[in-house]
Amino acid sequence: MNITRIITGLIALTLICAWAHYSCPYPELAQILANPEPYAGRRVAAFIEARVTAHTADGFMLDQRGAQLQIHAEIKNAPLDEFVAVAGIFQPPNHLHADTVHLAQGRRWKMAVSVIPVLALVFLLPRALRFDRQTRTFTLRRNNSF
Amino acid sequence: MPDLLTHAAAAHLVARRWFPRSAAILFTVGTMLPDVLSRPFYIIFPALHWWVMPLHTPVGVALVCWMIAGLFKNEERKIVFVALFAGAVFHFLLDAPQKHVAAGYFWLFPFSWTTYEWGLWWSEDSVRIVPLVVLLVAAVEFFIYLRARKRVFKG
Repeated sequence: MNITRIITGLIALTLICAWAHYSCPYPELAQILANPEPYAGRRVAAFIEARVTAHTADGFMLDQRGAQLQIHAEIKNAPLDEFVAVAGIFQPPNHLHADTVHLAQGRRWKMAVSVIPVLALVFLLPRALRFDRQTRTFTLRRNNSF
Repeated sequence: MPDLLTHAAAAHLVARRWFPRSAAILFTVGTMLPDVLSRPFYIIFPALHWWVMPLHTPVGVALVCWMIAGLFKNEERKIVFVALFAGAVFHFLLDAPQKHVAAGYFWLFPFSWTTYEWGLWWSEDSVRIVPLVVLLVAAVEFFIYLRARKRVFKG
């Protein structure tokens, strides 16, 4: 096992993950609602795990980690609790005139279906790899059943 | 991303041709890595979205593949890295045709926040073809089994 490689890799990964978090050009909805004026009239998007929470006369209410945004959109009767991604022009204090709305119908199925190959791999990997206790390394089995 | 089952099934079919049998499973693991490393974390903890996003980029996954290869014997590290990373590249190829409302895939991260995708379908659309994908894999496996059996009888 190459410990130096693993530690170096972990440090590099931590650095790029922190860089992504702190330099990300997409403001969070909570961030926009906490300080709405700079975003007035600008195009913003809400797409990270956002859901439809209620219907309104001209659209729906969107919730993203507790931050609520009123969406003006042509889509009526969007399914409640459905995952949604929206982009449009923001109007303080919490309105968005959406020009793009995507209801991610089928996302829950996608998540459920995605668990199957992970479980299959958990079962298959021990058949394909062998751990050598002396050298503390993995080796590939030559006659695995994969 | 298409669902992981579609990714894994496509990788399974490709891996059979490109890699020795012992390394083929690593190609499939590599195909699943970008999603397995990032999706569960931000689905359960959405606040982590941007923290784990680099694990769904070529540079982030290359680092993980390089680290995993370090867990193997010296003479196997190269094939392990190549199989894992080729699998991850195959994953990105299947992701490229998708579209997003905002912030698609950051292929050049950490050097650029530029996103590029072909915008042909939404990511959850692949769920509709899952039964077809499963049938296709089963058909290919059955065909290979029949051919091998025929060869045994001839021999």
